[in-house]
Amino acid sequence: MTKLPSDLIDQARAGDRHAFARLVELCYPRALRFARQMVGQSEDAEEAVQDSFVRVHRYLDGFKPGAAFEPWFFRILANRCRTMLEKRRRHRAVIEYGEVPPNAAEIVQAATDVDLHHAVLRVLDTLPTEQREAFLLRHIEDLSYEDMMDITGAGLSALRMRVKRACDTLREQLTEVHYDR
Amino acid sequence: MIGDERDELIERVRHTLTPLPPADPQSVARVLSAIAEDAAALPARPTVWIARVRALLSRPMLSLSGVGAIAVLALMLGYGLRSQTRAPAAVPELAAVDAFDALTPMGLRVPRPALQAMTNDAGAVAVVAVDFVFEGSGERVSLVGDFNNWAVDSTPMQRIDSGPLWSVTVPLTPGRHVYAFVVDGEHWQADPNATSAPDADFGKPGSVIMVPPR
Repeated sequence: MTKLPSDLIDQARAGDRHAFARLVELCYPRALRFARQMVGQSEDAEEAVQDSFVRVHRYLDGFKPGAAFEPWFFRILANRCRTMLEKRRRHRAVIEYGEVPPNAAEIVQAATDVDLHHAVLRVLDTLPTEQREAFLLRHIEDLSYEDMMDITGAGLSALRMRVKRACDTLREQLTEVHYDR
Repeated sequence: MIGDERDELIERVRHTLTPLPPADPQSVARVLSAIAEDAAALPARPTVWIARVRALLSRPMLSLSGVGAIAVLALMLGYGLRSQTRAPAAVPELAAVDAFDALTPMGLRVPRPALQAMTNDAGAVAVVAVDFVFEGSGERVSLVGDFNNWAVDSTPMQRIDSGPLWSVTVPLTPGRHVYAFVVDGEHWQADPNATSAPDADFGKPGSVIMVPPR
């Protein structure tokens, strides 16, 4: 979203429908990437992205002129992803009650024949939501901790710790599979 | 610094996760369509949806069938009343017509948004969603008129169930409008069920529709 034309948000706020359509077009890939990495490769990710844009459209008029669009957008998107995950968790709790979730080591071990990308996604999926979110915002979306604080509502220390723990888990699980074989 | 270490493995993880998915036009179109539907679900002014009912019933294709007209009326009443019971949106937003209109310049083919009583939230302009129906054969049919600068490709009509009927919903400002149907991009036809326009632009056949003020 750093590539957004500087005046695009203002034009969209002013009611320029073409500017808003362009905004969606430009933001969609990055939004979908984040959503897929948060909630998985599913229709849930697309739904989270779509819901986010609907909310952006609904509340764009209240967006502070001159403010950074990126943190505002990711706050909406991250919220939608968390909501989606919570809905899914409840659904699973109902239909899969009693099943023991596999641990990360088992998942990665089972993924030794697939590429690193798939292994990474599967480890990401085992991370607590807060850690996964913090890792993606910091290392994939390249956001500052200040922006992350704005997006998540968490404090600096908590965010740093979440990112560290996510990195530690990734190192531990992926090293076991891809470096120590 | 805690959390910011990027060793070789974390760099590889970054490398594998950073490629962006493509901006699939259909997906973007679905988003824009959802936005249009959301905007259309804003509280409606009763006079506007009544105007739409009038506009619908004034269409000969619909008014031919009393049962069909009653069904349409019932649908519209239900939709209108439901819309009015929704809680007001927290902040103003682009009107549905804006989001809908934003689709066509991008060449995006989208499901028809649930256009309802569409008003500019600033309250400056009220438009009425008017359903146009054409019956005839052809590979493609579009609607042209003074509302889209007579651009043949601007407002394609959607075929209904692979049959001879084509339809499209267009937001129009109240007043008199002249329009025509264009079959396969070149054959202009007036609406046989509407009043002919004596002043049709370009020397082509045209029809008149009066959109009642809200």
